[in-house]
Amino acid sequence: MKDFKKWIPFILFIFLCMLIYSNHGMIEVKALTTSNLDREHSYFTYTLDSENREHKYFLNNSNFISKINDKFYLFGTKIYFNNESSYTRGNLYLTYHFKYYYDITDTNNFHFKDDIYGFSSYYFATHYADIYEEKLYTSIDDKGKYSYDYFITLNFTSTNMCNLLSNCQNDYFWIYSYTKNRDTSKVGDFSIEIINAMYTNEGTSYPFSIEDYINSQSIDYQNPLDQPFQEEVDNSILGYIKRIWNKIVAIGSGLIAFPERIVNFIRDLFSGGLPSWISPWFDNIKDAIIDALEYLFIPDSTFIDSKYQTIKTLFEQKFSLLLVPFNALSELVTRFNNLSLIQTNNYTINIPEFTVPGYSVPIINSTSYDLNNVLSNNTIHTIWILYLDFLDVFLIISFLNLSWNKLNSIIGAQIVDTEGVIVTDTGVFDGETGEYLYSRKNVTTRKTHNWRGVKRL
Amino acid sequence: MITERVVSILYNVVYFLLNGIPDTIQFPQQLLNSIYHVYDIIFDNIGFLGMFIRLNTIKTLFPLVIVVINLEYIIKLIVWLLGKIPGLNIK
Repeated sequence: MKDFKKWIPFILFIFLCMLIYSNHGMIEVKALTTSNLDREHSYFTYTLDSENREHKYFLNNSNFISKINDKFYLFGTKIYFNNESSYTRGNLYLTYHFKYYYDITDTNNFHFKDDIYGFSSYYFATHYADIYEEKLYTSIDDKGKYSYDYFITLNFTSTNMCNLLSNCQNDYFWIYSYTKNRDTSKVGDFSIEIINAMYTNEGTSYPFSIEDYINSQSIDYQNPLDQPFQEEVDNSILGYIKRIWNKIVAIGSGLIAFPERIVNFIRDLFSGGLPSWISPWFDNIKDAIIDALEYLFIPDSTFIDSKYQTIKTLFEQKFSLLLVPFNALSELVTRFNNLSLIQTNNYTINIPEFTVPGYSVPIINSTSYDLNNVLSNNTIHTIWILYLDFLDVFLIISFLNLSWNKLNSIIGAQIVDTEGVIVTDTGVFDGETGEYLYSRKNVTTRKTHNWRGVKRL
Repeated sequence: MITERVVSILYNVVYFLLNGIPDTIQFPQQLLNSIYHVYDIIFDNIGFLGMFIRLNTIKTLFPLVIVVINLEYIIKLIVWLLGKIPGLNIK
């Protein structure tokens, strides 16, 4: 019981490890659950029949559990033009907003109403999303209709919305697209189609790119344009100054890069940038030298193999008996190496038929026992999982302890502080009184930095 | 060409020496099959062992334990090899 105190930190540590592991498992389960939900596609078309047009579509799911870094949107917006020349890209202003709300009073049900704005119990918030990636493709369909395909991937992770969502477990939100035709005379000339809006929360990384999405749709898109949408030219004085400043910056960047270009030119000259008539000549000489060295020193790949196989066969023929332990060990290691890392949950004991060599009558018939039924009980299953967790932690700590001790015994050293008390008793016989006079002297000794375990290799 | 010639000479010497040795007793194939049969019993039922201990843990730790136990010899081997490199002056 006295030594039990030594074990308390160890037991606490194991308990902590189990707790962390257990919580980790719960988080994984939660993530697994949500990853299978909340995947929505929208497909609709509308004509921009007025100057401004708003549209919103909803991503709603009562089981939605928001999680930081899980929000991911992929937009595909197809913009049709009846006549290409009737449209100048600078006239179109396309933006996306995000709005979400959640019902404070009724978190279990979702009720969408047009007059939802009038409900005071709903909390609204609007956020702009960051554009993670955007690309514009041009395409012409079978009817000769010219269109732009504007793909945009919006990133939630760097907005406050993600944090807000993570604080409310039952929330509904929608993507709100806003389109504005700046040229009112061209109203009705084009239509906009949201071809796909996808939400996913699969993991923290982006599961696919725009290119992957396009490839999955089997649509033959043309090469992407450099600029998805032209920026509106600011004709004000401020805009004019800004453009001049940008030019100055560009010229400055070019001047700074000039010495670097010279250095690169010299470097390229020595690393493959030689004149065109010299380069092949050097290449031929280089190839000839390599071929000659290869012919002289590198044998044919089949040569070594054939010789090895012949010697191996002869060796096995001569030393068959001696090779058995090595073959058996090799077989054991191979089988151990081929063990599947995937837990099969096949807890069945298979006892094969056992017969004496040379006799056909089996001594033991083949049988099998399935222990999966035992684990079907939830309580036993939970205890079993805990037991396996405990054992894992115990084995890992034991291994670390072994490694530490081994390392210390080889190259390490241990600082040990020792403390001791030397007690000296002296006795003197007093002849006058006839008594013994005792005296005791305590000397405390302390030795620090006593290096032990040092072992030279 | 040069390497092939050298290897061929060594091969002929080894072949000549080995060929002169008489054959040892052949290990009975049936007995070898019995050993492998035991392996079959162990590895066919190893899933059952997974009920008591995670096989992934064992498979990961087992080679590491072998390395750690023999760490002293491994370090000696490395030092010995490094000692063969002239200029490093490792003893």
